[in-house]
Amino acid sequence: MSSPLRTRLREALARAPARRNIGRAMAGLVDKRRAAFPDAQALEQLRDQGQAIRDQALANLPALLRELEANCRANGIEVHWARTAAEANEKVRELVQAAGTTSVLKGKSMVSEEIGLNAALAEAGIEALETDLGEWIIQLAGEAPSHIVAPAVHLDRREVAARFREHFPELEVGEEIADLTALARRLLRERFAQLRVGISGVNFLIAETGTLCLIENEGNGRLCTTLPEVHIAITGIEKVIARLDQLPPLLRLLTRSATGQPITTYVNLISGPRGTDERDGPRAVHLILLDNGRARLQADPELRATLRCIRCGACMNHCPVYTRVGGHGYGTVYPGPLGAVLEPRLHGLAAPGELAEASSLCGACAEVCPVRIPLPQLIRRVRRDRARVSPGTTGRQARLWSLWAAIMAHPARARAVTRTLALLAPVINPALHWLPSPWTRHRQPPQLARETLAKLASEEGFGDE
Amino acid sequence: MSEAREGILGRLLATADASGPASPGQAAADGRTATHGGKANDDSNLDEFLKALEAVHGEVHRVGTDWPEVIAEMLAAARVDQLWYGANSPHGAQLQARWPSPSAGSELAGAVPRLKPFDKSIERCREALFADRSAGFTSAQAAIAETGTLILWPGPAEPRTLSLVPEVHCVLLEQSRIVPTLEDWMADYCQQADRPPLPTNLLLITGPSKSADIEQTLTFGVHGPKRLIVFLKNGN
Repeated sequence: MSSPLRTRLREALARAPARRNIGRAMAGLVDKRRAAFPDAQALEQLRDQGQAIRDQALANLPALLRELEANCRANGIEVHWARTAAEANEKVRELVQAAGTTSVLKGKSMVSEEIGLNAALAEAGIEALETDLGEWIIQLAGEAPSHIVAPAVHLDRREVAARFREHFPELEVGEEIADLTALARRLLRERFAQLRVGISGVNFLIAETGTLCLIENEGNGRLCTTLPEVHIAITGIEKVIARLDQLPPLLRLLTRSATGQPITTYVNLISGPRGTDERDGPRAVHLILLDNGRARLQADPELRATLRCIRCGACMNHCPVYTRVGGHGYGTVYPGPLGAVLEPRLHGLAAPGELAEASSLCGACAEVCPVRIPLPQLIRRVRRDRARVSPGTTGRQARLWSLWAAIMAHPARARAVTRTLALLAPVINPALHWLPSPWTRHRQPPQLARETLAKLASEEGFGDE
Repeated sequence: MSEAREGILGRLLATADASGPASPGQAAADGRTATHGGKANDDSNLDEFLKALEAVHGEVHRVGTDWPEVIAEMLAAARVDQLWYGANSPHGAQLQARWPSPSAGSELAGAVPRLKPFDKSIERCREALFADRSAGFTSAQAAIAETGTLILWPGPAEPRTLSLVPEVHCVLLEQSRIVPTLEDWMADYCQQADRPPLPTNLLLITGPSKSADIEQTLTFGVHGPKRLIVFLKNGN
C-alpha cells in the first residue's frame, strides 16, 4: 500500500511546525474570503457571470487566440507558441541569450514552475532570481512553493530568518517580519536597479485589446515588467478572455476568493512595449503561449471545466486534506483538488492519477470555486480513469463489494451472515485491533455488535415492512 | 515556432469542430455586475473612497490650487530629498510654477525637496531614480470609490516608473473623477464611440506596496513605494 505519494503524505503529516503554520493560514484565508462576500445572493450571481465569461472564452478559444495574437502584434508585443514545457523553456533561453545577459529577475508565475523554467535556465548558465517575497524565500531555501498563491506559507518568521542567516551569513538578520521584509527590499533593489531581462506570468489575456493583465501586491511584478529592456511573459493558452469589460468581475472574484482582498495593490495592464516618445518601459515585450496538455483538457467535454480556473487557490484553502498536509505533501506543482484534476492531464495519467485518492470528496472546493468548477465530480472522473488504467487496489475493492452485494441482496443470506458475525463478535473484536490496515493505525477499529440490528429492531416492534 | 502555433490551433480547432460552434450565456458573460450599486452621488462616492483608501494605508490630503506648496510641505516634513515628476505634463508645469524656492525665507527653506523632471530616458536616470529619500509625482485619471483605487494613465508626459521606484508616491486626484466601481469606469471607457487606445501600461493602484507572505501578516513597502499620498483637489 505504499507509494511515493503515500510516503510524502506521511512525511508531511509528521512535520508539525509546517502543519501548524498552514492550518492557521488556511483558517485565516477561509474567514477573509467569507467576509469579502457578505451578500450570498450577489456572490452566486457573480459566480454565474465568472463561469459564463470563462466558458465563452473556452468555447471560442482558437478564434480568441488568433485575435489576441493579431492585436498583440499590432501593439508591438511579439507572440510565441509552445506545445510543451521543453519548447517554452527553449524559447525563453533563446530570448534571454539574444538579450545578451546571463541573469534574469522573475515575478511570481506558476506556469514557470509547471515547466521547470528556473532549472532549465540554470542548465544554460542563466541565473533566474525570484523577486516575490514568498518565492524568494523558498528559492533561497531550495524548496518548491507549498501553495499557488502563498508559496512560503509553511514557514513562520523564525524559520524564514534562519534561512536568511544561512544564506547571508555576513548580514545581521532580525526576526521581526518588518526586518525580514526590509532585508528583501534592500537586497533585491540592488538587483532591480540593474535589471536587463524580466520574466513574468499573466493573470488574464484580453483578446480585444491585445493586453496582458498581471495582478500583485508587492510591486516586484511591476518592476520585473517595467524596468528591463526585455520583458518575457509566459502563460497558458486558456488565460484569454474576449473583452476588456469582462475583466472587472473576474478580478472581483479572483482577489476576494484568494485572500479576501477587494483588489490587489497593483493591477498592471500591459498593451505594448515602450512607445516612441516614452521615457521608460521595456523595449521589447514577448508573450509565450503554452499548451502543455491544455488542448488535451479542452478536447474532453467534462474536464474542460478545469480550464476555467483563475488560480485563486480557494479550493486548496478550503480542502480538509490540503489544510493538513500542505502543498509539499502532494509533491506536484499544483496541489489540492485542482492539482488532482489538472496534474494527470498535464503529465499523463500514470503517477499523479493517485492524487485523486487524496480527497475526501466533501465538496467544499466546488462550493467556493469562483468559476464553479465541479471539482469533486472531476476527481471521481480521474479515479474512474485511473481504475481503468491500473485496476490494482480498486480491483480488490470491487471484488469485496460484489461479495457484499451477493450477501445483502438476499435477506436469508444477510440474516445468516450477520447472526454468525454477532455470535463470533467476542472472538473477532479483539482480533480487529491487530488488523494491519492504514485505517486502524490511527483509529479505533469498528466493533461488531453482539446483537444484529434486525433483531434489535424487531424487539422494538419494527416489522420487516 | 510556427509549427507549434499550427499544432496548438489545429488541436483546438479539431475540438471546436467536434462540439460545434458554441456561445454559452452571451448575456451572462457581459462585464456589468449586479453587485455594484449603480451611480451613487458624489458625496457618498467620496466617503466610500476615503474609507477604502484608509483601509489599504493610503494617505489623503485635501488641497486647492495651492497643491504644489502642500506637497512640498509634506515631503519636507518626511525628509524627502527629491521629487520626480513628468516634465511635459500639464500638472508638471503647475507643480514647477508653484514649487516653493528652497532659498525663500520660509521655515521650510533648505528642507524643500529638489524638483527632478523626468525628461530623459530611464537608462540615463535609473540610478538617481533609485536613490533613497526620493518621491514621485503623478496625476490620476480617475479613482474607484469601492476599493480606494487610483487609475493611472502613464505616457510620454508621465513615465510609469514615477509610481513605482521612488519611496513615496504622490498622486493628484480631481474629486469629480471618483466613480463608484471599476465596472462603472470600464463601461464608461469601453462605450466611448471613439475611445482612445489603452496606454502601453494602464495601472490600477490601491495603496502602497505590501506583502503578507510571512505568516499572513501585512507589511508595507516591500518592493514598490512605502507611502502613497493622495492630494484630493476639489474644482479648479
